[in-house]
Amino acid sequence: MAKQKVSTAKVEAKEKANIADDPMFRHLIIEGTKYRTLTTRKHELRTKWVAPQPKELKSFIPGTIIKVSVKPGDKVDAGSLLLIFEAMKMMNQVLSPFPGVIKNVYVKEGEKVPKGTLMIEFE
Amino acid sequence: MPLKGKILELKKRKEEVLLGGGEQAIAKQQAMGKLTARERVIALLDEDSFNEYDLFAEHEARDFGMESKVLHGDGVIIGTGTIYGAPIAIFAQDFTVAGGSLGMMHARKITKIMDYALRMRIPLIGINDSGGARIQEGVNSLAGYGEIFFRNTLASGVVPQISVILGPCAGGAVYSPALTDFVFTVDNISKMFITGPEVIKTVLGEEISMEELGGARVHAEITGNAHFYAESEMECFEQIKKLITYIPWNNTKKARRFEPKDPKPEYNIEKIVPGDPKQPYDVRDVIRAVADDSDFFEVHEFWAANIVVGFGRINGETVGFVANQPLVLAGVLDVDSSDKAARFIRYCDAFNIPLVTLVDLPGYLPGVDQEHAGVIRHGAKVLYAFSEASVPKMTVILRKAYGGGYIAMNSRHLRADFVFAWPGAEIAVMGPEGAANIIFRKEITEAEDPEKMRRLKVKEYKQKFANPYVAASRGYIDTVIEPYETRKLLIHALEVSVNKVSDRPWKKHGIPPF
Repeated sequence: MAKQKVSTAKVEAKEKANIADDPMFRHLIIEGTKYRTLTTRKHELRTKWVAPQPKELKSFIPGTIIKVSVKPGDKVDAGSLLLIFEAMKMMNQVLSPFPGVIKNVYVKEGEKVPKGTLMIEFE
Repeated sequence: MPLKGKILELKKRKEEVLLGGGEQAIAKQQAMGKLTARERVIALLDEDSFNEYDLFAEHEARDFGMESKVLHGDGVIIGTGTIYGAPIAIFAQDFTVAGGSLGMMHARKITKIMDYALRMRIPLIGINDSGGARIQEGVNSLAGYGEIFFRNTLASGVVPQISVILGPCAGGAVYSPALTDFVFTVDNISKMFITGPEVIKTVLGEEISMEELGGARVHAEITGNAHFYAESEMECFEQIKKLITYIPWNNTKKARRFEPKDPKPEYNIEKIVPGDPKQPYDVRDVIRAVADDSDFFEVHEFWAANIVVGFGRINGETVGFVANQPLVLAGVLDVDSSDKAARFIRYCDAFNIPLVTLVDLPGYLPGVDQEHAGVIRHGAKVLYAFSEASVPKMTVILRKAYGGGYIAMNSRHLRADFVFAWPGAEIAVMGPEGAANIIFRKEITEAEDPEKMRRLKVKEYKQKFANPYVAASRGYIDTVIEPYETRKLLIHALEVSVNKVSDRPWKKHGIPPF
């Protein structure tokens, strides 16, 4: 890829009448001005930002669910135990960050979950 | 025993040790498409210039059955030689001997040649091809790495340090290359990572190949850990040899001077940059149009391609070019390009290489990812590096120079020695579109035809401010020049800067925004 990228980037300015005619070019808007430009693989691969959803409890690391301490409809206080989640050889107690009611539990005991999995939802 | 017999014994001993890990291990190395450590050193250095030391080194490990194991040279070759006549200290890890693993004696050999490089003030080249720490030697192996890192840091900015990754380089071992000035990689051969694919799979459940995780392309394009990328070991050695011609032996010397040569006529400086600041072009062609023989040796070619850095010569003298690249991401400054430029500027400054900055940028890359990745802190590195640099500093503003980007790109305000601008230069707080929208907001929204009024006001702003003359009237620019005069003026600027003094307050060291 790296070497191929060079050939795109080289887009022989001398030979082509107008290098901006190349279909690889995109628009990039900076302070109201539209620039014609190539982009990079890293820029294309960047993760788009999403607003945090405080009512969705997601795994921040891959791991195994050792224990589920709540079920839908349970009222919990701030600091109540929700899950025991094993990750990086540590038994992590996952505690409720605020008082609330459990809307749904999406994981079972013994289940292995990848990073970013929705585990518990609050009402 | 007469001397003749002793000489025979030496020859026999040498023959045995020179075989490294033995024929089988050498065949395995070749099957992986790799040269052996000794072949590499010989290919890289001038013919017959290599002198090897510590050939008969032996390890002292006594645990886990190591006492009965003979590891020739303890898995590393050290010595001195020359590249185009320039003296070089070199080590090369020998993967055929215990996988090039680093034990105490192995590390001692490396630190010995590092000390030598530092004492003799000559460049150091390290060829890395190692499975990592020699587990049987435990904490002694860790101590060895630490001693290497310390010396890398001491030598940093004193002698050039070059790392060549020609095999695995994993875990703690990666930090020696990371501390050196330039890292060379080869496709399908170089592998660098802190934790390998196996650990990532067991711990995180993510599956990835070694090549995708830390191969040459990844480091050359995504991480920026590699400065150079080659498709074969021989191509890589040619790149290293070329680099050596541009840099001095140490920080008290200048790089070797070459016979001046005019740029090639096919790079016509009048025809490269389009008049419309929204249209792209390859800024490397501008560099080639001012550099001797149109020769430009690019560093970090594939990473953060929105800024271009590298070496060339002007009137026979090595200079470092730093140029915004309108071809990629409109030439904006962002986290990676700031990092890339700042590091290169500091390299040039440390090794007495004058800087030539070519400016054409719309500003900084907008985006949540950029802000959250700390573009403030990273962007500040460019300001720091240019302000700190005391080598002769020349700036040519080719086209746009807006806002913070204008300041950052070696402006007069950061103590550029010479600032030239082409007639099409636009030095302003921001682009005309953005500026008109703010200054004339009321007129535009209240107009009968807001779009028409907007265009009118943009035009008005352009005529008044999108030119080099406002900045020239304040002395922020020394002179407005025609493109064809650029090389002549750069040569002149270099000639009058030879005795440059720059007074700075005493300090132990600054605190750059690392």
